[in-house]
Amino acid sequence: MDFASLYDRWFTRIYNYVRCHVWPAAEADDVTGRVFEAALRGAGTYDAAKGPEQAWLFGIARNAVIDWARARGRRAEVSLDDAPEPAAGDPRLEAALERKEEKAQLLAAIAGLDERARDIIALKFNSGMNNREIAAMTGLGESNVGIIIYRAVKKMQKDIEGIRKL
Amino acid sequence: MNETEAAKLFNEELDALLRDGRAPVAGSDPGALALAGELARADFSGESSIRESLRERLTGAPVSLAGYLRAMFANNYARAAFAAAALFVALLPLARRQPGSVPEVSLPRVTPESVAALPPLPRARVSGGAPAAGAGLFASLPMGRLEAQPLKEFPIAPAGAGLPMVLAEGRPIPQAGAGGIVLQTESAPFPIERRPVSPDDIFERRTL
Repeated sequence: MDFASLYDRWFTRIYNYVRCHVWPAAEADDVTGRVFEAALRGAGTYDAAKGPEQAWLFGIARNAVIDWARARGRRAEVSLDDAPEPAAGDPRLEAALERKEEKAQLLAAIAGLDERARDIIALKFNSGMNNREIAAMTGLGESNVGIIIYRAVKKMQKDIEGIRKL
Repeated sequence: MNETEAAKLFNEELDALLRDGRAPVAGSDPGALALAGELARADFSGESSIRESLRERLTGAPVSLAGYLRAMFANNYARAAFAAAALFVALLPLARRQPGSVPEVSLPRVTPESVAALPPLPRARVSGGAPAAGAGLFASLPMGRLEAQPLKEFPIAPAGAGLPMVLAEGRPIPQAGAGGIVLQTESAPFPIERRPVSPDDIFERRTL
């Protein structure tokens, strides 16, 4: 396995998955670092016959997130300040602030989900796995995963509409 | 439609959205699908400050050019700066071609006597066919042609009446690897020699 290409292929998606669970951003960096360190250590044991690459990698990421949550004993509390600051002097500052606001709203809405729904949403939108693969990873039924996704998106939609009305 | 059916339909549309990158035209729940599209496009990795350093630490190799560019352009300021630089580079040739931006200088035509005595040189031309401004002021001496000639045939123009010059033969220049001629004027010999010189021959070295 070429670890460098695996890293380039999956860094963004793994980081985004972790970011859905972990805040602030600096801690998401730490957890992402632990995911890839563990992946490097376990690269020799990965067996493509047992499952796709992303299932193996996101399995590691899930464990790292669970470890982080246990260690911190925290629950989702995302403020708008957690979103990245636009660079100073950005000529499109207004647009950048708008995007920052949108990202913060998404993170806040994700944080408003229960842990199971948050994990499934983070997997659905970042791992590239389908509902069946997510069900296999989480130990849920495929139809149950579908219903959780539907309910989670509807709840997030309602929460974001509430935020945008403020 | 109960929730199970609605969820099944929504998931089919969501899979199409994730696969094709766009929502179905007549989705069952446009608002939810629009939010799903936002989630699919959301990229928080621009916040990460370890992408390159972690890669370097784990693989021992710096991030690839593509990865580096991807990380760099995650920054809005870098994107704007690159766009401005690209625009500047694209417009630079146009700015250089602006006619009349440099005032033309009209200089008097000067022909030094020493140059006038030499064979005429081909006049330098600029693109467009116009003669170069001040072309008569400077001229290149055809040194290669001069050096190829025997020393005695060095073109010497008469300096005018009253100062006749003749060649005095048989006067060697006592320098290793050098050669020369001695010109005899009315009052004194005038040697012209060709020899290697050092800076000390040209510059005065002052010591306390």
